[in-house]
Amino acid sequence: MKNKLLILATASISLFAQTSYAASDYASFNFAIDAKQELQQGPQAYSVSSNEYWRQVSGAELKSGIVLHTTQPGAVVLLSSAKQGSTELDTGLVQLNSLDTQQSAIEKKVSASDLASTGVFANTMAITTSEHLQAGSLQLVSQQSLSDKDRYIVTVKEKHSPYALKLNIAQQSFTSEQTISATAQLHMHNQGVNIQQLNAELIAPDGKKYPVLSSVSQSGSAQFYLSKPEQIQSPINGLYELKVSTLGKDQGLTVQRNAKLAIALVDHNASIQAVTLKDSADKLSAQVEIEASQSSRFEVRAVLYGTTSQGKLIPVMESHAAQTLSAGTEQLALTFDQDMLAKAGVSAPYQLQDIRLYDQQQLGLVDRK
Amino acid sequence: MKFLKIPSLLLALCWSATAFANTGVAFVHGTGKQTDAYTNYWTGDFVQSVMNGNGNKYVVINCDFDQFMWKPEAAGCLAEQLSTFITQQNINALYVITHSNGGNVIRWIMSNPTLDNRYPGIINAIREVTALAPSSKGTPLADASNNGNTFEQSVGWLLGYTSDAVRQQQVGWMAQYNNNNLYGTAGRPSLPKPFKAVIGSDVDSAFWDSDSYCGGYQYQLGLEITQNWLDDCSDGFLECSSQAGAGSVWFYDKSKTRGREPLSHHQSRRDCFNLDKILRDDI
Repeated sequence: MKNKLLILATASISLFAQTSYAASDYASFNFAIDAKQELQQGPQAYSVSSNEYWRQVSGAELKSGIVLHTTQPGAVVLLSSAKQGSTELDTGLVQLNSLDTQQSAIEKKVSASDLASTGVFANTMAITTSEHLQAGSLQLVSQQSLSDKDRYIVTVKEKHSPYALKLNIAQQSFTSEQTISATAQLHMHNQGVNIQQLNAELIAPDGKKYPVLSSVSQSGSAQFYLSKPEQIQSPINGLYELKVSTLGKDQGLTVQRNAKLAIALVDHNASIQAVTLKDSADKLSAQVEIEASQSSRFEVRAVLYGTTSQGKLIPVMESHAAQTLSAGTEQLALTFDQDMLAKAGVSAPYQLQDIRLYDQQQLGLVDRK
Repeated sequence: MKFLKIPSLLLALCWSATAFANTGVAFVHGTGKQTDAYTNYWTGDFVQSVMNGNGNKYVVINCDFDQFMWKPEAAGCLAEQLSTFITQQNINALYVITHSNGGNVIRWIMSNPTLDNRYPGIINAIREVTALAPSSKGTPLADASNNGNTFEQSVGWLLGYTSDAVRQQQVGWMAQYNNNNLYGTAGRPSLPKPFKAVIGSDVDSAFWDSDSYCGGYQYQLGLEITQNWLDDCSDGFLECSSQAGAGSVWFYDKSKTRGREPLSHHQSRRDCFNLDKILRDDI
């Protein structure tokens, strides 16, 4: 939704019920924007596509063998030990065999120390499956004397598989007032794959989990409705993650895919009530009326547009202003750099676009106009 | 013989402009907690080579970039050390060199000028940022190393090298930050000062090639595994698209390095293949 405020270039003074500034921590900053820049307006949709899955297994399960489903030869299997309290795996005692033929499916093994040299995975060994192996079900088993309670993560990555789980969301930042929904498709080359099992959960920054309502269609798509936690952990603590696990069937293959996407949740503790541009004789400025349900340090950001001599509206500067505001209705002043305006060669009519209100104590976006 | 006559006024103006530019250089490390980045992260050889002929005003930052970029230990620490350097050395043209996640932390400062009263002074003093292999759009490897954490109630059970900084550099997390908190990516307002990226596009890990050992050798087997999470164009840790995701691209490694050698993620913070000389000349 595009929201613009068009203000005539005549001198105008607006009178407000409250004009006091709450504290002396007011800060403002402007920087120029290239006139040729094409700026996105409003929240941005986000999607992620996954060709992998992962699951937790115990030492007992690894000793008796677990089934892994592949949809391509040359898959990569990671086997990661929990950092504390789990037996380090002996690469030589890990076997991966085809369930159909019982033959080894292993092309190559990479030890935990070799993988750790990349600086990415620690406590993790890797196996690549043979390029000559048909896609299908494999059995992963360890011959090692593991404790039954040891914990491991098994990841199966299939870089070139045509099967993928795509997660989509209309925006990644939500306030406590907004409904959060997302969709997913399990597909093979854009053809839907029938989802037989689906699990979705919302994971908070501190690891706490919340259930997610899901509905699955025959065509391989799903919809999710996320109920908001009672106590929101704002972005200053990290992001929530929607994690979806699916299992489907296609052409005799079992397709397993996990995907996750990140979401910011923000307490909706303030909103923009009105914005007025003031173009007096020698200075352009704006007043932003904010209604807050609690005191915090709020910041307004906006893009100022001006009109060229050819009558074209172009972006001139990104403007910021922040101040601690009390609960109630208060004003926040946006000031604009007059030198930048002169340099841009623009005049009235001016516009403020993409006006955003942030709570700096949450590091979150609370309103947008 | 013809001589080029430069108008004396122009000469005087040029001299005046350079006389007032007091240049300093800041080296900003990537993910990790550093206490001696000069020795352990960049090496003294690299720092001294970059500064050769560029004066002696430089600072090598030591902060805790295992934290989220906005934390006092990260951006707060960076702001403190830069502010002190700028003030003490009277710097008005700060050339910032970052590596990897260091690019995200300096972008945090440049994108949030009202968050901390030190930030505007730093932004105003910055001449430009040269970001070596910045993780501007995160990396799928951060996602992969964090996947196991979704099984636990508490993030205390951590796999591998993950930390808050690694969580932050997951692809979806960086998309959220880029769209809401950071500037410089496509469709967003540009950063207030130039942010130009040097892109590492490949990893040369042939054990028989001495060039593979510059900056530290990475074993081929491990790299073959991590490549499954990355595009063909990557420095072994970051895809080229992530490195090029914010600001502008200064150059892809092979277009300027000696022998057209690629710069792996480790090599892009070392004096490998004339990278130090390229930076030196640019300053």
